[in-house]
Amino acid sequence: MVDDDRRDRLSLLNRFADSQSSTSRRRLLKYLGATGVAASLAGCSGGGSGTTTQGTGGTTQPTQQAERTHGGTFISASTNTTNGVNVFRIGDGETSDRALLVMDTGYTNEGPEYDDFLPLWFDQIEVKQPINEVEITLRDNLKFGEGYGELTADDYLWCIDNLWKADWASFTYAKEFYVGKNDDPIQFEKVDKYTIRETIPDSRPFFPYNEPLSDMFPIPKGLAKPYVDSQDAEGLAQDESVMKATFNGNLGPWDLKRWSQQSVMAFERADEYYLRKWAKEDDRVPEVLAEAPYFDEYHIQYFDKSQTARQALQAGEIDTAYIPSTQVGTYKQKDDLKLYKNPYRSWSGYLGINHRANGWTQLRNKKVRHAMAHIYNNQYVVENILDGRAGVQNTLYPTWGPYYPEEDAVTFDDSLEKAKQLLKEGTSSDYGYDGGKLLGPEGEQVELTVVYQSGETDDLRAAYLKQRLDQVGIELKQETTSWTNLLGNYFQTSQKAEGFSGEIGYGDDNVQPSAYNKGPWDEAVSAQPWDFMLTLGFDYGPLTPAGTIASLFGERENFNAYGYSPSKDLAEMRDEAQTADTREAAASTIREMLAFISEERPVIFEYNPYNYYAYRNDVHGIGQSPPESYFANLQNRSSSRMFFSNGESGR
Amino acid sequence: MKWYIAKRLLWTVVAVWIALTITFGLLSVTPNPGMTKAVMGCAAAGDDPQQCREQFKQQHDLDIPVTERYENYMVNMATLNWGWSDSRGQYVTSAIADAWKFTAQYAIPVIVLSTLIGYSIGLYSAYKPYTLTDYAGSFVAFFGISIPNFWFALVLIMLLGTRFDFIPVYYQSGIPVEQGWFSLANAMQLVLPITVMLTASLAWQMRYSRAQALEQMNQEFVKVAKAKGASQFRLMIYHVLRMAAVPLSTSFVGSLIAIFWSGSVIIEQIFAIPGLGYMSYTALVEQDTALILATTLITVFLAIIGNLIEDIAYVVLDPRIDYGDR
Repeated sequence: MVDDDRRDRLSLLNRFADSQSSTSRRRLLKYLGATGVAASLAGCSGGGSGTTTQGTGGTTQPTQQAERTHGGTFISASTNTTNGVNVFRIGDGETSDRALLVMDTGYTNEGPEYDDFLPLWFDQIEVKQPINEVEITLRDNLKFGEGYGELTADDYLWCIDNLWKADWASFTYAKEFYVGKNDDPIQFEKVDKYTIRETIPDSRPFFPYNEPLSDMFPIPKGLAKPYVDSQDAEGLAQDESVMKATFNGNLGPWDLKRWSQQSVMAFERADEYYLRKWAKEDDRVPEVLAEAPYFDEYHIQYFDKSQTARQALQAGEIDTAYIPSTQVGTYKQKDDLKLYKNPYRSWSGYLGINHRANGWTQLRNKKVRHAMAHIYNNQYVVENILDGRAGVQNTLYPTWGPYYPEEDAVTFDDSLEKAKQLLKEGTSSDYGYDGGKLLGPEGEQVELTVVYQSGETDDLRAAYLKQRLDQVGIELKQETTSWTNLLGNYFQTSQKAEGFSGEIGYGDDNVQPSAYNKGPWDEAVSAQPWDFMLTLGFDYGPLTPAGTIASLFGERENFNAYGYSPSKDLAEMRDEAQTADTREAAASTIREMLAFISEERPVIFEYNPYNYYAYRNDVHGIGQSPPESYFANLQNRSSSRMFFSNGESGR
Repeated sequence: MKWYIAKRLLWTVVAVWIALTITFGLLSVTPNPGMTKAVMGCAAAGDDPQQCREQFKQQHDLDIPVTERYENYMVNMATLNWGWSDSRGQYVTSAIADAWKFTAQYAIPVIVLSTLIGYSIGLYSAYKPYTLTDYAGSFVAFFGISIPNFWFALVLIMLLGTRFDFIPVYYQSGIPVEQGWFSLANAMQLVLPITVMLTASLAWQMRYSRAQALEQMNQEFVKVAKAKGASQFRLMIYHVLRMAAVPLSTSFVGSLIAIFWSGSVIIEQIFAIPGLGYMSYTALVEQDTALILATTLITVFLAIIGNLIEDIAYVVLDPRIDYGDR
């Protein structure tokens, strides 16, 4: 399990990943690289309906402005490398998080409805009906630093043409600027100094929720032009000003003060943060931000060993650290610390099933998978292995999400009798029980393999699976491996299936969607055989699950390493949702997809984990624990809203 | 002697060249993890993996002949153009320049203290073997050797850092910048790392020096010195240590490299010290090729130069040894 909830915040960034283009797939990789455990996909986004021109802004503030104090150095523990704030080369969640400290973005969502947003750099977003034109108006007090001048529409347009869409730059999110099945480009034009008009070539029901400019970080023309002229992407990425975002001017709440590699990134309060003005003048911006941020300095202290971080927290040397769920009980007892619980994580843990030719053939039968859902009981896993610190999932989606198919989600109890019955019915005629053992065609007891990366939770999950399978007469072999090996030799489909001699791929053109799905289940298999897989989980994005579902379980989609062949065309359903005329229609399609995979169980859905953080008692403004909603969590612990009770860190 | 040193220095260049060539050869035949990652990324993103592979090769000069790459590599190494470290986001030379100070500030005290204290206890134990003090010394030595560094470090952190709040739990790299490398605050946060490192290296020095001293204790010249009424201090320092120092001097390089590779990686990880040990570890974990090469070079260089210094020390400590005719 990953050690923090960065994914949550990134899911927010993923909001504009509305396409069947590679956008969402790129983001998935971002998570693969960033966390080493989980992966994320974004797809069709969700929200309310109607046209909007203004964010609703304003949130419930637990603390009045007058009570907030200034000062001190807030130190946050991180077990992720402190590798720069390079806004040109954001490819992972950690870099995103750091970049967001020094530069804001266009806006940030504050609720599931698409007009629930806090306007940041963007003052206005006007959407024409039908949704094919968006006009964005920038605030008029945005300034780059280092003498690069004002941030205006020209800067965005210059970056689009010269950096973000340019071939030589290999910008990670270049495809954000194209939409639809044919990757048609979005047209951008300048209306006036502060206004940009976007013309969308296709029906996109969720625009501007997934509008591409809102999460882009413009780089000043004066800084980037020499690299653009020489087409030197490496030079730009390694430029000191870019690496440290020293050109950020008044665009973010913090400035990078000191960066000691593999140790600490120290940020200091930005002198002229643009949003302070708007907090006083713009009703949509919370008053609390008029003096934000409230610390003099904000440090991200890197710890390779999370245990050292927790000791430092207890010693009062740092102010917050992640607490693994297994240690929550201990930290609840500590008087000088307070625990923050976040049950709104867009992450799904499940028992993967290999449907491909080098997995147990019988797992391609739904009844056998249903038997497995009885055997490997998700309620038990959540209550006993995860100690109740997770939610049960019966589809690739949390019960708290707006698309959860309440009535259509299929559940299974832990009945071994039903499991045995389903195994009898679901396996082919050459399988059968002899005494308590399930025997295969050769008369031998069925033995299956589970592969996973060893860790406290996964070891327990594997042990539980073994014990339960044993009770229905199936043996289980446990194989542990490294994360890299898990992906490379088990999740990737790099080999031809035994007995297949043709060219791997789908259709006449032998299309190979990705390294994880090079072809149909009977053509492409992983280098090592396996039946079940733990460790790997996926981020679905609570408002963007359609792309995730299709990518993981759509037959010809990028991340269908499982080799699952659904009876419904999930990719078509995703496209249908993403190009629907109304948001209601899109939501309906998404619910249908979720209900379908709940009943199909291509994998055994398990849990939606909670996150815990401990804070020193004198840190305030962290918000309600647990937060009211997914979005409340995103804003609660913002570095701009927290403060020390006595105005200093006390160290 | 001068000719010997010159030859040894020349050999150092040859040995470093061989080590670098082997490293280059191994890296050339090993699949490039960066390329694998890039190709995987492209494939997953729906792009053409082959195109990405070619692009990666072009970006990293892998499309040019291996001989040309080898030449570039050697020239870069010789001119200290060691490349860019992806895992740290800075040039490799800058990375090393940043990191070595953090390691040196605790490694040097550990080497000095372990030598002084270890040899003192070792000599004392040898002077009074099989007594209570000798047994106590042996206990300390075996405890130091046996106790795992990482566990001992965590216990000390919990006890002295968290529970009693005597000293900082982790190393704050801002302190030497803001208050100075030789400030009290910096010294305080080095107490735990030095203590942990000291337990292992001190024990090793102590046992080794005791064994060497015991061997000398039975020599005729020691008995004569004793009979002539030499004081305990004079006997041990002037007679015994002088002779034992020759074999003991060979332990310096070994202990230095042991500290660098085994001890410092663990210590720096646990105490969050951004030094060379942790940098090397991260380079390996992150498969940061440029940084791996640089850290390999440093280790090879340290080993070879260290051996040379040892050999020279032989001559200084024992005038009977002469390299003049070599």
